[in-house]
Amino acid sequence: MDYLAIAYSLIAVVLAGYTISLWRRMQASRRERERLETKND
Amino acid sequence: MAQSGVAAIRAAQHDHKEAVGLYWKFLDDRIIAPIARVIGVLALLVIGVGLYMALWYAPTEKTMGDVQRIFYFHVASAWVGFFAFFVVFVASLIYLWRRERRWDALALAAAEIGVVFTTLVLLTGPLWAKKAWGAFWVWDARLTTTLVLWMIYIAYLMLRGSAEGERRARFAAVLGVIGFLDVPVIYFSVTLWRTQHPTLVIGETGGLEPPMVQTLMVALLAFTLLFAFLLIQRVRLEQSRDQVNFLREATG
Repeated sequence: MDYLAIAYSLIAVVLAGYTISLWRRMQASRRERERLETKND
Repeated sequence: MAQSGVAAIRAAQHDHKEAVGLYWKFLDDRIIAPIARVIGVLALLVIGVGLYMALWYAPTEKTMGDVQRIFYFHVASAWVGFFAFFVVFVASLIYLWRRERRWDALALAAAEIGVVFTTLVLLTGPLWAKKAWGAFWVWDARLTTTLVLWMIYIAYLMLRGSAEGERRARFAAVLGVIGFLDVPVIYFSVTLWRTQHPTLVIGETGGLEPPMVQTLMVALLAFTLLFAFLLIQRVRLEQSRDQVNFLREATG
């Protein structure tokens, strides 16, 4: 595998990984907020 | 709580708007969610176009060959990383002045994203260097100062886990301001010291050809849009976490 392919693969993996991690953290926080709001109804 | 339930929490949120409500009015989900979606889709499209241009449209550089194509998104990553740290710098200064949580949250969000993009710079640069210099890493002024910058903001993120509340935000803001001083050092390192790192030359003999410049511009736009999307989402996450913390305290 040449360096060009490695470089663009690394960029894709890092950015996809960070975006997925951010999305999962947002989902977890939203679920927790909804749970706490429901608990108080 | 005398007045139990969500209504009481909402009333309390209204009283403590700055701490537990919206950081800014436009961060209301109904306003920001569609805007973020549009920016996200645009970013994906422009990244696609940028990739096409970087891999096929831009001519092959004579000396380096195909490995030079790393340059387009390497420079775009560096631009976004440095811009993110500039946001940290400004938000930290405003936080130190006004002590409002929202500026601390913005600084944190920008720092995290800045570290991600600087990581990309440090990953892609050595791959180009191996072909150009025969070594993945040399202790060149620009490389070393970029590594130092990355370490400063890793320390910034670690610091946030080591202290609590206002103290944590204050310490982080001071580091966010001081850390940014490294960015102009990186920029001018190629003129201040003897360095192997190439300088960007546009519009002169021996500089980048027009298709290369166009490709670079598209890559810069693509990553700037991605940065805007990620920053919005990261600030929304911080806002949501504050709301959860408040609800936890309010419900006991």
